[in-house]
Order: sequence, then structure tokens, then C-alpha cells
Amino acid sequence: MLGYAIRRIMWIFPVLVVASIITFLMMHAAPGSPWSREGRQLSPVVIERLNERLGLDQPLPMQYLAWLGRIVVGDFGLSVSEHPYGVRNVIGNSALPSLQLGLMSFGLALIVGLPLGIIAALRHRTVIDYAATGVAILGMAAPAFVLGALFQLVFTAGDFDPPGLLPRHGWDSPQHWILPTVALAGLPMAQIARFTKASMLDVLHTDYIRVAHSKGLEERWIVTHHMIRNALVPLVTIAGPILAILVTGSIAVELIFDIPGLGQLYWSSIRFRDYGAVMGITVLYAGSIAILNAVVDIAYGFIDPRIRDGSREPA
Amino acid sequence: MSHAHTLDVTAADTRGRGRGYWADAVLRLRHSPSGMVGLVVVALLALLGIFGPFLAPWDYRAQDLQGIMGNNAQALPPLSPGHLFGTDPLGRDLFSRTLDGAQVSMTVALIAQVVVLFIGVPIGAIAGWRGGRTETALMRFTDVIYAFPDLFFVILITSAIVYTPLFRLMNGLFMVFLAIGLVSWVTMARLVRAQVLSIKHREYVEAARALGVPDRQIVLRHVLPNAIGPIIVAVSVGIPAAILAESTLSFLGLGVQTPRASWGSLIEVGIRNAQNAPWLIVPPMVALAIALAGFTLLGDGLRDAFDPKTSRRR
Repeated sequence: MLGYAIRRIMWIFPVLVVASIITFLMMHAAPGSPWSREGRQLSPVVIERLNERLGLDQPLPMQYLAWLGRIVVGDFGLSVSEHPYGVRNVIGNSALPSLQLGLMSFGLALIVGLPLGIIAALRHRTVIDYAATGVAILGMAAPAFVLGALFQLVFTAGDFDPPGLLPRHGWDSPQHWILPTVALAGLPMAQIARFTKASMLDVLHTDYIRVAHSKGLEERWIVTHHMIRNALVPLVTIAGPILAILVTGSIAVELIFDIPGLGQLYWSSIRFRDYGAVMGITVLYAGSIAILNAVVDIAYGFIDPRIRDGSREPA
Repeated sequence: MSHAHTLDVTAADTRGRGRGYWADAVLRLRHSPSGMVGLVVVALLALLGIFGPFLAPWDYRAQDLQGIMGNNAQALPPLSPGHLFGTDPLGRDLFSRTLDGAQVSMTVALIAQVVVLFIGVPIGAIAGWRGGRTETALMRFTDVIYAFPDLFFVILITSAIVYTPLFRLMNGLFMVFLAIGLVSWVTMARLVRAQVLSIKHREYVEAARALGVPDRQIVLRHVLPNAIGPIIVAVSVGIPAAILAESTLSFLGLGVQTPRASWGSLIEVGIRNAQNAPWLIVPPMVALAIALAGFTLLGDGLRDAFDPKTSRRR
């Protein structure tokens, strides 16, 4: 088991190196340079000096190796558009709002999604089930950018009357957090509800639940101690995809609500060809997802030994 | 379809066996209310996508300049003469543009899934069948792609090919489904590999191998056909995901380019004009929601139909 865990973790490093090479090549394949930003005219001499300073005058393989050498010691290099800040500072400042937004949305999705799924399964094929399932379908049908845009139209003050209930842009106070969090939570909420329901229904028809019933255990006890506990185990496997939703949905939500997070930083860095920042963010995200997937696999390896010897595909 | 289904059943019955795999699946799909609702919605959307240009009262590019001039150069509200849903500030008919959005979404979704099938199935099948180093190499490569957050990778790909001839092709449509396909094949590859692994030691495969049937033929004729159910389900789940990715991308301005309309870009226009033309946002938003819900319901139905083990699930 320990061997499996170590092997699984060691694989993260080659994955990250290849991911960063792909990002590096794509970034440099994109036309334009950091200096071709609109409304900014730099003289060729200045550009030459800047390129020299950032190492952009070197051949591509050398540039990549230099970047790799720096990243190993934790130096993310300089950000092109945010002189004189280093990429690590820029990312560090943006990571907090994104992390906060992601975690709050995930929490909200769990708080709403889990009960919805559990109730739908317990009241299978009743009006309550159909209502809960309908809410989940609605969540699947309303992407984060649509919800965000809609919320902004309905709940915030525009340039005209009447004054809105909540602030329109920014991330300064808890009032600012409400709309983006709810907008981002819609889809994962629906996914968690649907997954929980399916998982609960699977458990509902197992032998051990029948045994529990025949022993005359109290219904409430069976639900809380036998059903929910077992039904929630597979939920671990959708943590990865849900994280991906929170991360990707956050680009649109951060842009709509002007939240100074990683999604917005990534977006502007790509537009302005800020190679250092794009590489840094990619490695950060790819690293987090790879680590999360590894943790999920390992956790599942503990729960279900069949995964370890490869007879079952880890999700 | 129902005709083929009846035929199938009788053919199977006269041979004195139970219903075949497909007939069984179709029957289960027909008994799934959500699946049938989804099927109807998706069929309607597909028809709108194909015949939209003939149904549309206006060309999606055409500007009704006379109309908006008569309205102080403002967008026309719904139920204006000739414009059921009104027009955008450029005088383009919103109903026609929403119809064009249906075509765009359906095209992107379908072709992205074709790209997914063409990359994901071979990689998964080869990895699962060959095993050993080949499998390790291929699966670690899929791990790399899997580690990218989807939309980040799509944005990266599109920014690499932006302004090239590829980008201009079909107003950005080509770029969008290429990028989405290049990102989404990973799930398919993992699924196919797992399926091949579970099928490759069955007796009929061993028998084919013992008879000296070439590997390629075994995989194509005996292994993959038996994995078709899960593959169909995966495609049906991939389609709404692709529609979502396309509309998000177009909303951000990186996807389908004007004059072609995507529901995502129409919603963006609606938000920008929310104060003077609040109706603009409604049709594309409703259309997108209907499409996503329809495909999700169909996906549920197909899962019930092709995955009988868990058919009690929903």
C-alpha cells in the first residue's frame, strides 16, 4: 500500500514537467509578444533590453530549461505585465480570492446537494423526488456564467435606479461574496445531488440494508448509520471533476464580478502574453489537480483494495 | 427509429431468443420518461439546427436598418413587425440569431465528440489491449492532459491558433471544436481502457485469439462492440459539456466569432445591453438551458438503457 502511494505521488512530477512543456510551446506558438500590447509603443532598443533581462532572447529550449531550473528552487520568474513584481507575488495575491471562492462554492454545493440527493433517493418516485431531481436538472442547465450574469442583472445596482441589493463588482466584503459563490455553486450542487441520489439508490437495495430492516432497526438509524455512510464513499471519486468545474467556472465568474483571482489573472496573462504568469498558473493548477487526483486514488486504494492491483480503474 | 426497433424485436423473437442488445436498450429508453423527454428535446434541437436557416425569417447576418432607424437607432423590442423576439442594436433579428446559435451549438457538440472518439477510443483501446509499457506511456500522457483544468487548456489552445487560417475557418467554429475535442478525449480514453481491460480475458476473446485472429480484428470486431454501451453514454455526457464549454468560450469572446451567433456570445451581447434592451438576454439563455437540460435527461435515459445493472438508479 505504501509502495502504491509513493509510486502514485512520484508520477506527479513527470506529469507536471510534460504539462509545463505543452504550456510553454503553446504560449510561444501564439502570435505576438508581451510587448505588442495595444496602446503601448516601445522602441526596439527597449524591447531588446527587456527581452535580454527576461531571457526572452535565448533559444526556446534554453528558455524552458532556465525556467525549469528556477522553478525547482521555487522561483517563478518575473511577470511581464506587472513589473516589477515576481510571478510568485502576482499569483500569491490572486490565489486567495480564488481559493476562497472555490471553497465557499464547494461548501454551498455540498450543503444543498447532499440533502437534495438523499431526500430524492429516500422518497424515490414521489413528488418530493421529482422536485429535488428537477432542481438538480435546473442546476445542470444553468452554467456559472449564465447564473452570474443573471444575478448581476437582478440583484445589483446598475448605473440607474433602483439601487441594487448587493454590490456589483469586487471582492472586498462578505456582501461581495454572495452572488459569485451562489453562481459558481449551481453546477457542482446539481452534480453532487445527482451522484448522491444514484449512490443512495444503489445502497437502498443492498442485502445489509435489508438485514438492518429485518432486525427491526429504527428507520432513522438505518438511514444515518447504514445508508448515508456507505453512499457517501463513492462521492470521493467526483471530487476531481468538481474541483475542475469550480476552477474553470471561476474564469467566467471572476471576469463577470471583477474578482481579482487566478481565473482573471490567467485570462489577462494569456491576452498579454505574460509567459511567466501563464506558466506559473498552469503549474499551480495542474499540480493541485494532479495532487488531488493522487490523493483520491490513494484514499480509494485504502477503501477499495481492488484499485491497488489495477483490476479497477481509479476514477 | 421505432420502425427499426419493431423489426429488430420480431427478428430476435423468430429466432427463438430473447431480445437483442439494441432492441433491449431501445425498449428501456422508451420506458424512461426523462430519457424520452430528453430525446424529444434533442431531436427538436437537431431539426432546428439543420433546418434553422430555412425557418429563420431573416438571415442571421442581415441588419434591418430601416426598422431600427424608425426606432431612434435603438434595438427593436419583441413583437415588433417582422421580429418576433426583437432585434439587437445592429438591427439583426434575434429569433434568427438564436436559431443560428442552435446550429452552432449542435455542430460544435457533435464534431467535438467525433474528435473525442477519434483520439480517445484508439488510445484507450491500444493501452488496454497491449498493456505493459505501451499502456503506461499512453495512460501517463492522458494524466498530463487530465491535469489541465479543461477551460484553461481550451483557452491556451485557442490563443495558440488564434489569427491563423485555422481560426478564420468557419468563423472560429473549427477552432472551438478542435480545442474542445483535444481536451475532452481523456475521459473517453480512460473509459475505453477500463472496458477493454474487463473484456479482454472473456472466453470469446480468448477463443478468437486461439483461432489466430489478428489482434486488430479482435479489438475491432469483438472487444470494442462490446464496449459500445458505455461509449454511447460517455458521448451523451460529453455533448452538453461541449455545449457548455463552447458557450462559455464564446461568452468570453474567444469562441465563435461574429457575424455567426452562439448562445454564449448572444448572452454576452444581452448583458452589455441589459439596460436599454433587456429582452436580448432571454432567448439565448432559455435556449441554452433547454439544450443542456435536454442532453442531460437524454444522457440519464441512455445510461438506464445501456447500463442495465444500474438501471434502477434514476
